[in-house]
Amino acid sequence: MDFQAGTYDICVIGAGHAGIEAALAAARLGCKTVCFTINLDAVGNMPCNPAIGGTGKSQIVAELDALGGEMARAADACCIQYRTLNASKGPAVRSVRAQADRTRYRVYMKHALEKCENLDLVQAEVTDLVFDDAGTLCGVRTARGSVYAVKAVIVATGTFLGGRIIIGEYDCASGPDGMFGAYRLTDSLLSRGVALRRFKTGTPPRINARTIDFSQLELQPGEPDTLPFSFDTPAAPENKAVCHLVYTNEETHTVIRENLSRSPLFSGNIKGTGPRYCPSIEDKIVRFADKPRHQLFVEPCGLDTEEIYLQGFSSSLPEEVQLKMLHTLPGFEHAHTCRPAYAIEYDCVDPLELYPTMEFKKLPGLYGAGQFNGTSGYEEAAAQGFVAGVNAAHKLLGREPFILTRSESYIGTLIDDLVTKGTEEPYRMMTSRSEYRLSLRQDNADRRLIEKGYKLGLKSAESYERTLRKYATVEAEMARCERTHLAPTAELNEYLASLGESKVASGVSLADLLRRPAVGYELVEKFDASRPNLPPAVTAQVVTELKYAGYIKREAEKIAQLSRMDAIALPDELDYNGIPVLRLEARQKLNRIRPHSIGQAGRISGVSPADITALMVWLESNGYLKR
Amino acid sequence: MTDTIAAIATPPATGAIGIIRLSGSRAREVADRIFFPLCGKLLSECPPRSAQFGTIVDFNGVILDQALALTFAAPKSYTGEDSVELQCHGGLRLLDRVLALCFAAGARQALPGEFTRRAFLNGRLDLSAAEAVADLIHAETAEGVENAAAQLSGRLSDELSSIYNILLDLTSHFTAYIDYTDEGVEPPDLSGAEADCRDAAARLTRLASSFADGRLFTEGVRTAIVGKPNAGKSSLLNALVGFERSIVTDLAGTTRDTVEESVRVGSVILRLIDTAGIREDAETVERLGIERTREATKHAGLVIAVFDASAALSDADREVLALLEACEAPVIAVCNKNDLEWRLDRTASPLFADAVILSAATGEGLEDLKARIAQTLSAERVRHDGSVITNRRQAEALSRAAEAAQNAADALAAGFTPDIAWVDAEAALSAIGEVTGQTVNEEILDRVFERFCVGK
Repeated sequence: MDFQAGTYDICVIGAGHAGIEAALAAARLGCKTVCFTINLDAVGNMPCNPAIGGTGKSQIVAELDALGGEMARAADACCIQYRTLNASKGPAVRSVRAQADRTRYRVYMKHALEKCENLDLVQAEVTDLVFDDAGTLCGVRTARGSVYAVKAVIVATGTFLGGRIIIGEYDCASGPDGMFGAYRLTDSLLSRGVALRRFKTGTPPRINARTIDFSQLELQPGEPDTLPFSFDTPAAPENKAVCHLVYTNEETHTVIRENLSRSPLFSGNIKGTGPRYCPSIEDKIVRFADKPRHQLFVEPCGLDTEEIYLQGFSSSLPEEVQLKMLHTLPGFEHAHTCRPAYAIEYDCVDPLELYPTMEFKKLPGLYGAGQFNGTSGYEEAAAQGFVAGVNAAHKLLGREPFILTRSESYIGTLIDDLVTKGTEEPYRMMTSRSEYRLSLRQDNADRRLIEKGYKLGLKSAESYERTLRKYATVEAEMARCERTHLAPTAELNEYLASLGESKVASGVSLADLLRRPAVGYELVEKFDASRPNLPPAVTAQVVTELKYAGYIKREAEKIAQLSRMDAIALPDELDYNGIPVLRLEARQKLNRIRPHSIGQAGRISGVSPADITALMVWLESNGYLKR
Repeated sequence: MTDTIAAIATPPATGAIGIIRLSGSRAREVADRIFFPLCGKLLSECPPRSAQFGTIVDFNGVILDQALALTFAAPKSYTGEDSVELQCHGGLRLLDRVLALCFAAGARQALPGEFTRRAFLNGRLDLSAAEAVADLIHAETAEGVENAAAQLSGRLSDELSSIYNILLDLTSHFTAYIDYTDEGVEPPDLSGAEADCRDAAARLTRLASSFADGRLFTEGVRTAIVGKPNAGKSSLLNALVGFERSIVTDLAGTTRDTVEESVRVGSVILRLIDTAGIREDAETVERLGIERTREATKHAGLVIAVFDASAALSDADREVLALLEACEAPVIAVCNKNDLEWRLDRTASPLFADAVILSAATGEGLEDLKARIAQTLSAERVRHDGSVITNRRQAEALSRAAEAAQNAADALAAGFTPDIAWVDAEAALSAIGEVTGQTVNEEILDRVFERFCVGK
């Protein structure tokens, strides 16, 4: 029997990384929010890699922090080993990656949801979307028959929706990490015309550390002085654990080759599309047959567990083959597997069905976020959850849609890619996805976005003002470096020579010295006694902004041009088929994708610059555009 | 702040006046560098919406043309931005030189419909004309940009895809190295990458500058009519011109030292260079030496060599023949004065074997010449189509690609971190992609996964 269980503004289905940010953002914006999870102990679970950040991803986490998301603070509270990736490859691509204590992370996030005003966390499986007679989304029903009246629903089901786990010949309906999956919601979505598709991902085995001989492994310690994820975290984070490296060998490869026929990937039992950047070990061995060994990372899952995550050893081979493979690794001869590697297939949507607000074009009030939208990764999920939560709240509160642009953020880039180009495999963020990567850095995410976070009401005045002061200091120090000159002393020239830089013959400004590729702020510390005492977060930006000024300026000019196009909104109700000046292909694409701005329309493949001009002219002459 | 764009605003055919339009924040600044008003002031100091007469001078101090400049201050212009219009004498070649000068002075080639788009963005669009403008842009693009990729063929396509592949390999290696850090991807060889980028930049520059050759076919073939005095060049020319009665324009310019006439022969336009002495009487022709002829053939896309069939081979004829042997352009030999008694020894040169025999005086054989010209040029067109750029936008995109590849090389040479070169190499690929229609980002990723064992 159904019963009326409560009335809420916003319902979030799922409490993974997308659901958490969606629920917190909606509730913090003042909307009465309910968040459902199939298992309360799986809030903020990391069923795959126990890590936050990585190339292109730590930028997202920092952006979320500047906007008022939770992930960065949780990561700083729960991570146990930190490294700066690409330190030597340039500021544009520098990222932080940290190992997380996954148990602590879950506890932190569950507690964060529980403490949040306006937010109720409920353990239940949502099975149906409820619509009123007019066809308007008005509620959800759980497996136990509780009906909740709601005005908006955010679907953040991850790999739970229609989940199916495959390990060799074993094949079972299941969510991730031994959780129950969610199946009836699929039918409810299908009955409302939501087209679903199947994606696939996989995860490596977990091993008991007690059974590994670490003396045979290569040590990979954390690094001191990495950037914390949150700009509110005052100090560099502490390293509390280490990782190790190990390599596969010929013997491993032989075991795999001999058992390939038992792999569901090759037998065809897996039909979902997997991400190319998360290949299984058997896939790597088939595709790169001449590679003698593959690197694996041995990562701790937390401080209170012996479980080890064996990154790079993802597989869907049968359990017994997995064990044989594992025992060929040096140091793993007697290793014990606590959880085997598995592949998982799940239901997700084509993100072209969504507006950049994450709302379904055909089902007002319904939003998607995370893996359900065809992405991969905790950070990508969190970003979409946040954007969906803010937009669902804004719509109910009668506020403007919240849409970030490509030129101001990786989050905007992620969402623009999804809703403009779609994706044919689980989408993962990488620095190469952004054409503005010199400007979109982890270190300046606060400068780019904190004003937005503050205006949303999700970032405190204190954080906002601290950021303004920080960048005033950066500017002041840059100006000081321009005016402060060093004499061409023998000592200075000796130092420059030691860096491989040419000598100076006359007085030279600090700024000009910092513009040289090999010169860092150490030079200022060494030769300029008058310098103010500044934190590394400031001096690093001074150096980057000076050294890369020409490149950053070039990018800024590109951005200025495009932002004018992004600022012209397109009317929602437009039927592009009725615009005779557009080519047929352009009409079809525009009708399908329904871009929100002229800028987005221009990024659709198959829509030419001339189509855009013709479209603008037509809109203007037909009175669609107000200026 | 908008960047400044420039384009030829008049149709791509020779007319009495050709207009180059500049628009953007720096339009007047660009014009100041190349246009010098007679009044002695800078153009930017003259009141807007006034016409200034003056000279267009290139960076070497060479006067290209006398022109009228009109300035418009934002927002009172077609685009709503600061704008300058340079009204030059019509010749296409001249307009191209002035446009190139505008680019050198800081403007860039306008994209299709960009003036209209800017006018729109600034609320300056004439609504009554809006639909018509949209149709026009659409029609122009249907032939231009949309088919740009299809226009590529043969050697040009091979050359472009070879450059594209080198840059794609390089970029995907950088991508794998940077985005899949920690995964055992070998660091790219930076000095090799620098050399590759430099080489790509040089090759792209070469392709972009081949646009000048490509124009021969879209905007007319420079044709030299050569021959000794009295061979009948003038009468042949008059016969050709009279025969078609289709002189496009007379371009005798005060600042140019050549005289051009454009004549349509079948489907091609011949731009005749003065060695025939269109305006010169027989005596001045006598004064034109072999040097002048040599100079003309050097820059020609087609040479018509006229011999007097009624006279025995002279030393002057032999000089012409020697010159033709060294000539790179296709040569059509003409034996004129067929109406008189033959005295020319046709075995004196292999060129005579398939010479066109005609009489400029009676018009007999002119049809044969016309057919021969069409045949020669269509063969030539096939040769050229594969190796030259004929589309101005393609040329501009390849120039941008060259610049980006050069920037990548320079950043590597200066010792900057690889992220900079990576961004520039990708920009070069994108610009090539505009010409070839390739979607660069997807192809980079495809190659990363094809070549590198990354992902975990």
